[in-house]
Parts: sequence; structure tokens; C-alpha cells
Amino acid sequence: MSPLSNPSLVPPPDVIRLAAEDLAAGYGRHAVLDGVSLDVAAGRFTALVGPNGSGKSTLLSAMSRLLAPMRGVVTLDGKAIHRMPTKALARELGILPQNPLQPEGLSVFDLVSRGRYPHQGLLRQWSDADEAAVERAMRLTGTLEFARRPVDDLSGGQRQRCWIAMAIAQETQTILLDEPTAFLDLRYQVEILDLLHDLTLNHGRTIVAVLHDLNLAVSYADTVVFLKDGAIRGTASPPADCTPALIRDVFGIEVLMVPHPETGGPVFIPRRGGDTA
Amino acid sequence: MSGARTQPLSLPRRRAHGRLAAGLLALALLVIMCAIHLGIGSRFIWPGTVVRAVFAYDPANFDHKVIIGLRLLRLLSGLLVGAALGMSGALLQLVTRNPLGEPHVLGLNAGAALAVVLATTLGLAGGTAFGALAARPLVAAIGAGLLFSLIITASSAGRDGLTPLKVILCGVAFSAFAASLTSALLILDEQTLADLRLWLAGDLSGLTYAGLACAAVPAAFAALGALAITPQLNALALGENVASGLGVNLRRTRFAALGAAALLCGASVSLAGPVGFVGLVAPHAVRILISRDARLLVPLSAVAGALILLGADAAARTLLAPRELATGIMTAVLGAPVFLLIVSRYFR
Amino acid sequence: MTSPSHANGYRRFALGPVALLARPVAVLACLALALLVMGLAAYAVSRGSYAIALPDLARLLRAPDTGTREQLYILYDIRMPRILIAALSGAMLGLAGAAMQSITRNGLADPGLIGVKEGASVMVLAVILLFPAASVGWRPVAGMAGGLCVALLVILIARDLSRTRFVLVGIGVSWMLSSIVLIFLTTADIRDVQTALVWMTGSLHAAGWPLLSVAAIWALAGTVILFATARASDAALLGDGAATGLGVRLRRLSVLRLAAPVLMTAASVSCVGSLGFVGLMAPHMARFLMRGNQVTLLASSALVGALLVLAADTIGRLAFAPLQIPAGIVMSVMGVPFFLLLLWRRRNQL
Repeated sequence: MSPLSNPSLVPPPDVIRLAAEDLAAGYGRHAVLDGVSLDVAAGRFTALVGPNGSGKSTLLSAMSRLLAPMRGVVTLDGKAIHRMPTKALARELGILPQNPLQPEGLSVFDLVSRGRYPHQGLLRQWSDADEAAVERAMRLTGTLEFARRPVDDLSGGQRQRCWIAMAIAQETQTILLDEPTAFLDLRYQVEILDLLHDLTLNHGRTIVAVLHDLNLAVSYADTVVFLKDGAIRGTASPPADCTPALIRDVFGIEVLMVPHPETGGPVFIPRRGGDTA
Repeated sequence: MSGARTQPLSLPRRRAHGRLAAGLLALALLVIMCAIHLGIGSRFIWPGTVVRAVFAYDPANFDHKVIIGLRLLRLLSGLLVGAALGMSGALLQLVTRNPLGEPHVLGLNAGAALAVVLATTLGLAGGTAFGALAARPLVAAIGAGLLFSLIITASSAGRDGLTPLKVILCGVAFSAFAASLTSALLILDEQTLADLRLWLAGDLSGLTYAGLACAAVPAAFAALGALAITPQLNALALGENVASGLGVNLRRTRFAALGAAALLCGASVSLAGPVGFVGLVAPHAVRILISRDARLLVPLSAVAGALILLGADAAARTLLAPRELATGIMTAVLGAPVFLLIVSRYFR
Repeated sequence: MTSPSHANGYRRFALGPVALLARPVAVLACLALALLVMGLAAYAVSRGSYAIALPDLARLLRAPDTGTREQLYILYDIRMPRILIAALSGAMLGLAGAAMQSITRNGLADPGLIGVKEGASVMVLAVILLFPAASVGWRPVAGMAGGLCVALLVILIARDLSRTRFVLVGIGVSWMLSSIVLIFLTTADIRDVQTALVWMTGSLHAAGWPLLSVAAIWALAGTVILFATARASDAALLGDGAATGLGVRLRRLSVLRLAAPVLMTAASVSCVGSLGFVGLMAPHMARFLMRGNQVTLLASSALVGALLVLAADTIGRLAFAPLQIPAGIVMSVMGVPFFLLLLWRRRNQL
């Protein structure tokens, strides 16, 4: 039994797991992010939203060591991640990039079991813990039933669940996902977000995800971070704190805020260009 | 250049003058290069003497006899080979719309070599020496054309049609195939190896006036044909749909251009063996220095090709003197870096 | 309910600190391939201008002192080294191709296509022509130095391994180098050129025990590197981001996974000359025969490569006897149709 699947071990909400301090990062010499600081609470679902080019993916890349920072530091439980051995870090922090490559003909089981790489050695290539972790991850994501099929035969939603299963099998406390719902039908988007929400609520994982749908982010995440032009413009925690003024500032559109008929949370409806408030 | 003036869509006057001057400059350079080329050999002869030998031949003068009797043939063959390769490269680049189009890259050379070796092995080229000579350009052209059409067919498969990568990969593969067959034939048939060994290295040696004449006739026909279709080639550069819209018969234009390219390549292979990269460098040089207009590009590529080949031949005979390198080696040493430059410019 | 690994055809093999996961199907298929290689080798040893019947062969191997002097000479000094070196260089080329295709994620990448062979050829020719007295043991060393330099040059010019430009730059560099080879061949002393030509066409009849032992050392080193990094490169196939997330040190992996194939290709070129298309064909054929991870792919590519070169050499040796066609020629005649098949299958992606 993994400690992670025990709800009683869900950490208290005020523990900071992952933190960025005065972070500057970018591509080549061009800094996309400049001086960003962000604390990610343990056991919570944090969503990064913002318009295209706002730096949300860059922030996620820098926080997951895919990108070396130009300035500043990213810490995981107080340790600077860019100085940790990459395999040791891989046992603490999992990443799902936006467009991972799918080797032709790779079966779902093979994909998910690759998540165990940081726990394996040259001699001990497969242990009972590996077996158990893979099975648990596949059960949780509902991918066990098509374990033998090649990943490229599956639908977009099923495929994304397989990749998330790989990240879960890695058994890291923290998982960072870059647009896990991009290019999916609405039904699959909801399915994936339900899964992520369940991971934080019932399995104590810390999730940070870049999301593009504002309303889905607001209704699923515990904290929504708004980025624009490489800086954080606002943080809504809980997301009910969002205001139309913040949305206008970040996305440059006028929105109406109405309460969700069932949950009472905020729902944002864009106004048509010609309408005035 | 005359083509530019007679076309209804004439170029703006000032630029046309600049291009005319550039074209004339290229021709002048070519004449100077010819004089230098004639002077080079086991014994260097100064250009002044060379000019006198050509315009006021004195049978008593030993230098004059060397130039007219020995070196003129090599010069004329070099001119023909270089011009044919340059023009064939320009045609191939225009038709395949591929900056890397070239007889060597696209497998025409390998096909021509295989065809000639096969014909010699089987004794198909007629019993007489003259029969063999006269048939060689045509046999080479048929080989080049056949292999090239195989390559084009294979690389046109797929959704995106003829992409540069596919053409080149097919060209490399088919060239390797043809080269292996050629080697196998040569290993199995010693007589052919003895006959063709020199020729296969891609060198301007062992030439005869009869051979030159036999190659010049098909090359001249092909060059005239190529010049006649340059306006259609210009339209083709705008894309297939636009060209069809402008009333260009795509199939006929392509067929004519590829046929001319194969004949030109066959003529040059029959004289000098497989010489690579002249057809790659010449059109690019013209395009960068003078014009992208097919009506200028095709004839000027011939001039530039001749210039490059004569330069390479002169270098091949002087760099390691008294040893002589094969001309084809020199063109490859010069041309392969150009290939790399083009690759890093067009494929990012 | 069985465990998911069991349900997917895997079985766990554990012994002390070692615990592996493997598919029995793949293990059996590799064993079958190995038997095929041995069968072909036995056939190749027995046939030739001096035939040795298979029962005689078995007897000679078991008890060498029962054979005639002539039989022993043919067997141990002529045919055995040649056939072993054919299988070994085929295996090296197959491994090199498999590793190269996975690290560049390019199914058409082949160490031979990017000029490694020509680089090795230039250096080996320099050794043959400038130091005719040097022993054959120096050839692999020189060849590997040349191959590595060329691979570095191509990477420096292309700057990116997975794009079209990488293959094109490789083609251009190999053209340049082959013209340098031609300069050597046309200017050097004619007797040295003949030695060089025999070696260049990928002919195996100069093979002997010293060369075999040198090649075996490099083959072993490359194989160890490739199998040790096989799982990391499985992870690397998921893309740079996912691989970093799994804790793969990408830079170190790329260096090792490029160096090993380059060294092995260069070693094979230095020993038996240029054999095209093996590195390209073997991994694709292996993948066609069995699916699986890098370990399976490497093992089966090595076996298929050995089979291909052995077959090409045997055909070249026996088909037109007494004339011998170099294995390199047989290989490219077989290889081109295969290459076209590959091209046809990925016609929409290139």
C-alpha cells in the first residue's frame, strides 16, 4: 500500500511544496519571465492561466527543470531543484510536457511502466514495487482494460490518460502538467480534470497544471494563478476570489460573472465586442 | 540575353542593362579562362602566345602546334561538358523546384555510367569504334533519363509529392544501386574495365574530335529546346496551380525540360565521365549574382558551368603537378561545400 | 487476476540482486535468429573452392588433429576468421544503426549515411598509403578517430539531430570526403592503391585472426555502452521533456549513444571496408520480426545484421565462383529495394 493513496496523509494546506523565487527564464537570450515568485501549496491543485505568450508554459518548464533559470531559484521542499541529481529529483517531481512523443507501436503497459525508470537500477530492473505502482496507476486512470493495445490506436482522451498514468506510476509527490487538456473534446477535458482533482483530494498529490479554459480552471483548481507578459497579475485562492476586473486585465476582454447554478462558484461569460456594460 | 529583349514581358530597362553587363562580363571571363586553360600543361604557355596561336597559326612554332594540336580538344570538350552540366543543373532545379537539383545528386550521372558500362559489356554499341562513339551520348542519356524517371516516380509518392528530402534520399539510394551494379559488371568483365577505367573517374582525357562531335550534336539540340521553354519554366516557378492558370502545359513542359536535362547530362558523361556538382554550383552562382529569371538563368548557367569546369580542370592539372587529378574530383571538392551551404540555408 | 506485466506477456527473471523483465517470445525469437546465424555460418564454412562436408566440419571442430593439413589451413586460417568477422561486423553495424535511429528519432538515420564511413575510410587510407608498413591493428584505431571527427563535424554543421538537415549535411560531408578518398586513389603508388581498393569495396577476404581480435574488443565496448543505456534511451524516445522528467541525463545519454555507434561503424569499416545499408536495414527488419524495448531491438538488430552480412558475403563468394563479388556490392543491390520500401511506408512524412 502506497503512503500516497492514504487520505489521512494529505498534508495540511499551509505547507509550501514547490516555490519559485524571483525567477527569470526564457529561450536564447530573450527572457520570457522576469522576476516571478510563486508558492505552490502541498496537496493542492494549482492552475496557471493566461493569454498565449504570457509565460505560463515557460514558468512550468522552469519549475520542472526543463529550462535553466537565468536568475532566481526554484525549490522543492526547500531544496534548489536545479542543483539536485536529476534522477533523485525524478522520484519527487513528475512532469508531463505538452506534446510528448509517441514511439510507434508502443503498448499502453510499456508506456506506463516507463514511469518507473527513476526507481530502477542497471541490475534491479523490475521489482514488486514497480509492478504494484504500474498496476495502481493504470487502475486509477482506467487504462488497465487496454493495457496491451498500442497507444497510437487509442482516442485522444484515452491516450492522455495513459500519459497521466505514466506520471502517476512515477509515484512523485508533485506532478507538473503542461496543458493536459489541450486538443481534447470537452468530455475528455472533464474526465482528465476529474482525475487530477481526485489525485489531490484523495491521494495527497500536489498538482500544477497549465490550463487554457478559464471556467474549467476556476471550477476545478484550488488556486488559480493569472499570468500576463511574463509576470503574475493575480492569484485567486480560492478561485471564487476572481473578479471581472482581473480577467479584463489579464485577457483584455470584458466578461460577465454569474454564479454557477449548482455550486455557486463564479462562471465567466465573455461579452460580445459591440456590447457595453 | 536576346531572349530577355524579345519577350513581351521585358524587364525594367536599368536592371536589364545591369544584367546584360553581368552576362557580358561572364562571357569575357570565360574567354580569359579559355586562354589560361590553353596555356596550362606540362609546359606553361603565356596567353599572348595562345591568342596568336588561335588567330595567326604558325605551323613552324612548337607552342602553336601544342596548343592547336593537343590542348584545343581538351578546351572544347571542357567547354561543352561544363556548359551542358550547368544548363542541365539549372533545368533540374527549375523543374523539381529543389535547390539541390543536380545531375550527380539526382542520380543522372550514375544512371549514365551504368548504361554505358552495360552497353560496352554487352557489345551493344555497334562493332565499329565510330559506332560506339556516336552511340555513347545517346546510351548515356537513355540511362540517365531512365534512372532519373525512376527516382522522380519513387519520390513523388505520398501526400506532399516531390519534397527535396525524398528526391535526395531516392537519388542517393538509386545512385548507390547503379554504382554497385556498375562495379559488379566491371569486376565480372575485365575487358570493359580496361576500356572504361579512365573514363569512369570523370576526367577530361582520352578525348577525340569524333567523340566531341558526337556529343555536341545532341547537346546542341537539347540546349535549343531548353532555351525555347524558359518562359514556361518561369511560370512553373510560381507553383503548379499558377502555371496551369497561366496556360502552361505542365506535363509537356516537364517532359521537355527533363528530356533536355538528360540529353545534356548524357552528352557530358559520354565525354568526361561522371563529373559532379558543376550543375549544382553554376545555377546558384547565377541566381545570386545575376538573376533568378529562367530566361537568363538557363543560358548563363551554361556559361558559368563552363567557367567552373575549366577552372576546376586547370586546378586539377596544376595543384599537384606533375601529377594530374581527375577533373571530377576537383569539382566535388569545390562543390560539396556549396551543397552544405545550400542545405544550411534552405533547411532550418 | 494476474499482474499487468504478466498479462502483457512479460515474465520476471530474478537472480540475486538482478531482476529483469523480459518477454519469453522475444527471447525465443532471438535464440531462433542466433541458431539461424550459426547455421548459415556452418554452411558458409563448408562451401567454397575447397568443399568441406558438414559431418567432416563437425569432426574437425571437435578433434582438430584428425584433419589433413590442407583442411585445417582452409578451416582455421581462411574461412573461420572471415566468417566470424563478417558476423561480427554485421552485428556491429546492426547495433550502430539501431542506436542511431533511436537517438536521432529518425528512421532513415544510419551511421553510414552521415559520412562516418567516409571519414573512417580517409583515415585508414592515409594509414595504408602513408605508412604501408603499419600493422592492420592500427586500421581500426585510425578509422575510429576519423569517424568520430566526421560525426562531430556533421553535428556541428547541422546543430540538430532530429531534423532533415542532419541527414542532408551528412550526405554532403560524405561526398566531400569521398572526393578526398579519390584524390588518394588517383595520386598514390599503384600497388598501394590496389591494397586500398580491395579493402574499400567491402571485401572480406583479407580477414585474419589479428583483425578479428581487434574488432572484437571494440564491438564488446560498444555493446556494453549500448545495453547499459538501453532503458534510458527507451525513456528518451518519449521526448526531451518527458525524459528529463523521468530523470534521464539527456546530454550524457546523447554523447554515449552517438559515440558508440560511430565507434562501432568506424571499427567495422576499418576491418572489412564499406558495407552500406546494413545499419539501415537491420533495425527495421528486427522491428518487423518483433516488437519491444531497446534491449530487444538491439539484440535482434545485431543478429539480423550478422545474418545480412554473412549472407551477402556468402552470396558474393559463391554465386559467381571463381570470381568474387565484394560483400559491399551484394549488400547495396539488396539494400536499395529495401530502402525504397521504407521510403514508401513513410512517404507522407518526408
